[in-house]
Amino acid sequence: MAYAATEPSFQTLSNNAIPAAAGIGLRACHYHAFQSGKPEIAWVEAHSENLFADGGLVHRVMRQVRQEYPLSLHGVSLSLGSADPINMDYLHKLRQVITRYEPGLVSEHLCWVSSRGRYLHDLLPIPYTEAMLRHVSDRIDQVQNFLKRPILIENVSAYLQFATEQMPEWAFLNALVRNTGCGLLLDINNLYVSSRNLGIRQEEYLANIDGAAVQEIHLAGFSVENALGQDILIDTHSQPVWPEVWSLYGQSLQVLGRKVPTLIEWDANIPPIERLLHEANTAEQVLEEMP
Amino acid sequence: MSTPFSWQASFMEAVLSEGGLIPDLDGPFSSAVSTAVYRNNILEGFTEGLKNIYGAIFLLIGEDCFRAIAHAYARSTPSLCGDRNAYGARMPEFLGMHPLTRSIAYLADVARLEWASHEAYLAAEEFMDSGLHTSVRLIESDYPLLALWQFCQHPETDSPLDLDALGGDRVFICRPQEEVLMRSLPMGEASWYRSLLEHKTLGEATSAAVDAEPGIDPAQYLASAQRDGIFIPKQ
Repeated sequence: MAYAATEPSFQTLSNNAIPAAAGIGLRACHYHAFQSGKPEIAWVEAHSENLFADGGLVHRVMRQVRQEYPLSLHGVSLSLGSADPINMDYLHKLRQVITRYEPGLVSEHLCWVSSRGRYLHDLLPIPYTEAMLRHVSDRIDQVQNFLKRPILIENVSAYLQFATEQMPEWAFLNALVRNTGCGLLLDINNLYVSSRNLGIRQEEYLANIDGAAVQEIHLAGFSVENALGQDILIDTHSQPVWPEVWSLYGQSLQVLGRKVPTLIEWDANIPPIERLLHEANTAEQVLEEMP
Repeated sequence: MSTPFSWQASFMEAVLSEGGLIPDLDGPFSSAVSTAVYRNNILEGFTEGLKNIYGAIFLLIGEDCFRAIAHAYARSTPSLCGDRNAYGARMPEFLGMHPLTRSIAYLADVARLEWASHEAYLAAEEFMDSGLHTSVRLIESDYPLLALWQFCQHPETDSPLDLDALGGDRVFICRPQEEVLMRSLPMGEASWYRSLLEHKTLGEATSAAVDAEPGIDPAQYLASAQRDGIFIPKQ
């Protein structure tokens, strides 16, 4: 059964809708900034798994944050592309967190994280074949049925290319939207990284992606590393957003033709919150140029 | 080519090995390059996660040794759930066995203290049947554990520790509010908490405390535990 994003019973509550403005990811090193003040930002995103804790500081902070900001939840371990059955223990915890904090959006990645019950805690690529499309569509259906709401699916960075014949990533994502009624989270940094690493054509991607389904955008900084003598872009979330990615972000908004909620992610070498807010402000300026 | 699903098992085997290669690839990167990148991303991800929990161990053994230990641990100890916070419980035993670290006798105890602190940080806002808050832990060691841990928090300013002169320690860990608190316990109080953590009755805990430290009055432990918000008597 497919869920249309407009299905009335799954409409988000009006007080927690994610605005078409810039947000930042909530990280432990910035908890104090949110406890002692009210950073100027339109919305925040938290990693779903961090809220799986039974108690403690994260929930104290989140209760306060949720009262002051719209919240989206972003998962990294659902392992939608894995051959394993969906981890129901994980899904129950995710549903508890959703019930508790009523996020405006819930998102996950188009990837696998675990195999035969063992988690690698990394966002690993899947081949874009018809068989995989059926597999992932079925699992998104299962998750959305269980959570009783649509989720957003995010494109990940890739550092390998499969030998099997595949459809383009945008075609795979569009088919997931058609099959399941899920939305899309377009990670512009991941698109840039994959395009530079594997030669994916950015213009073709943006021209063909189902723009109406894109409900959120992610921006982050990649690193350039050298592996066995070859330069490769790695999605490290450890730096400011690169100029090339800002430019691709502007292009993407032009193609989408509207403002889209945009998140600045920073997960390694995390700077003081002021620096993060500065990045968000840059995104806000790009958004404000849109009609 | 293998099915996408047997491919995932091959991928996992390749990245967790020293020299294996991810099969069935094409395109601009050789299999060796792609494997090296994913292997590094995955193992460094585990290293970063373990470093967030075991910061004192990181300081005590240094970056290179910690990385070697973390990679070996990640390869040999599967993470069995999607929550990274749940991974790392067996590091104390691992440090005690690994050739790089087993000669540093106090390391496993420091790791036990750090895991206990990590658990306390995430514990439920509830009280156990014993009456103790779910965050309460007791780590006992033949080494001056709290002094070692405190040294790691301020390595530049603290003076060197004389491990032999300082002797053993019993560190009490709890998180009544936001912050994880630690302090060293005298013999009697340690016996009192140990008894309660072993699900004994208050009466048994009182006897154990007096046996360990004759002449003390365990009623003061109860009063201070209630005052600190880490004990609620059960009806």
